Amino acid sequence: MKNSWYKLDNSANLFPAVANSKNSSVFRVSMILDQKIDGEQLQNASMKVFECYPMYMVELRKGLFWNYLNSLDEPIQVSLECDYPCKPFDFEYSRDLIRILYGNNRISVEVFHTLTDGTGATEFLKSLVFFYLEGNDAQGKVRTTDSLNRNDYEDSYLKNYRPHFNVKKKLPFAYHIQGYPYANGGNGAIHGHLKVEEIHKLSKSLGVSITTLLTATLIEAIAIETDQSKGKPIVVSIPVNLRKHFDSKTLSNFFGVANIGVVWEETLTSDEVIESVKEQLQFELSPNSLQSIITNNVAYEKIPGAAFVPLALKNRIISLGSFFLGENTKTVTLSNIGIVDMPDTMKAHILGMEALLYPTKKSPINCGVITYGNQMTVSFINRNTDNAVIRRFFRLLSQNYELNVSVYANEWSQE
Amino acid sequence: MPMNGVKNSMKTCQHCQVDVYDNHECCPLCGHSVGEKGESPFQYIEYQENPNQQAFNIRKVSRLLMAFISIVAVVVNLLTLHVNSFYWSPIVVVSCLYANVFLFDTFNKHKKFGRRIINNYVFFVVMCIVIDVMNGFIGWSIVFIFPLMGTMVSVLCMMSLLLNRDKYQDKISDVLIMIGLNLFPIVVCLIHGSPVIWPSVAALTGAILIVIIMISISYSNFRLEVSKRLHR
Repeated sequence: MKNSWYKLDNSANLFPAVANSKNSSVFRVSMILDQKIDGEQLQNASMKVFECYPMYMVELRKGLFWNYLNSLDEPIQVSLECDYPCKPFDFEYSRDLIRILYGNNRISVEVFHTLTDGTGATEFLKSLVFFYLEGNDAQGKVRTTDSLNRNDYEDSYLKNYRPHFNVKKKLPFAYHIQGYPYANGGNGAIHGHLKVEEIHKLSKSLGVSITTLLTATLIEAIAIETDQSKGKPIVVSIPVNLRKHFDSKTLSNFFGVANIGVVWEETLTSDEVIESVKEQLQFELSPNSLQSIITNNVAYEKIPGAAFVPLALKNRIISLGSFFLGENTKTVTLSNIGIVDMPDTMKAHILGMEALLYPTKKSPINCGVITYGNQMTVSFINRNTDNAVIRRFFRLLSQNYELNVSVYANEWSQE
Repeated sequence: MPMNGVKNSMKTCQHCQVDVYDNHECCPLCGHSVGEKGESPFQYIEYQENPNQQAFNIRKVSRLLMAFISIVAVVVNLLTLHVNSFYWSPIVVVSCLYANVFLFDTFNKHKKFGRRIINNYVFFVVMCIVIDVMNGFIGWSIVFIFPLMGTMVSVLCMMSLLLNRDKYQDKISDVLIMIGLNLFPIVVCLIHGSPVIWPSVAALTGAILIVIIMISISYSNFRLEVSKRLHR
């Protein structure tokens, strides 16, 4: 793969322009095994895994008009985890876009969002753990070298671009959670384990999806714990995996965002919030809405002359656009990666998974959800010292809905 | 009931009504004590004490100082215009800007050699143009400084590439940037109608020579690197 290079997909162009010390654009997926992780063994596994994912063995480089991904000759080195989750990549020091970390029983993959989205990173992590545990039979559940496909690289946004679907929505500015960042910087992480049967039964009884239930609970938690006097909507931004809807198997980014908002009133009940979230989510996930997301994204790239705007100027424009159209219009992000499956022989060795999304200055708390086996992990990342919203969220689940919740945290900066 | 076969002893936080994994002494949600610390497969590594402590950031302090000097200069200049009608504050502002770049880019080990000298070159030229303009614009900055400094920096980038040919991919960006920048002086001189164009012609000739050298070193690599950067 020496000397090969790739164009960035449509949404990948956003992240190099907006990434900074307060918005790392780095997310993490982790697997927790039943044994302490051996660094050497993990390095050997990483050598194998990059053979299955050559498009991830790249570095980010600047062109005259666009960034591009340049293939690396040497595989990325695994390292012992020693810092907080979702730490920014220092591109002055290294241009790698992926980190493989290990510590205690945890294997983590941290990815700069330009490279891929949660689905791509989860597939990569599954293959990494498969090779780490020296698996033989992938049972079609894990990607190996046999799975290499030229469609892995495709920009599914461009492939599914239909210019006639273009519904533009004007989004209001959303409420933003206030607070003080950690004195030493960095992010705290709090994870809660839920039993899949319990939450599935509950959401079924309410007639909604699990994502709807969690979104409504999060909105309620924010409303209770924060000052809602300004009347701005509490908006949960939900990334949607577009692969299922557009029959794509790309390992690049292919997601859209559904913004679900509620203007809080004292008289609102939990059921009304759930109903509102359900209706909005149904609309946002309709084929026309999803097609419109793709069209709107690609439309910016298709503006006449955009290709010839120098990269430095383009980055400034993207950064400004993202601030007004992205950061200002959401309160938190909730990403449900979905259910992860592994080959039967490995199931006994894997105790759980975690997904953490980078926080930003305007969105200091974000939530990642991932399900493995009979366990759903709801993970919060927080750049502020105050945990009130997260505490309220888990208390609502345990006290209002009587779910069993087990929590643990990374204890970042706890005295 | 253990999830995914996890055999863990849990503690319960009475305040939050949640189970807490054994590796915590306090509830991660409310901070209340839940009992003695044990072990759990989910526990994170123990972070070093304040591993990410934000050190005294000399760069930030320097920026603030330069901004302060610039604002004071502008205010003093405006308030003393009746004594001295010369607008000298823009010169102070650009000098501060260049001083900042010179101090922090030139000695930044993380930054590549080429980028360091190109940054210095660009900000130095901007400073010279402002000084020239504020003194009535004779044109010495455009006619001499811009092309001659550009030629020097191009040669330095080229030498750096020739001495580190294994880093061809890294170094060629700097050379390409300088080739691009060296095309400007001749255009500016023609627009300005300057009678002295030999420095600009020298810069242009230098750029063309560098392209020829690059192609002769490795045509396929040169073409590939250019196509990457132009996305073609």
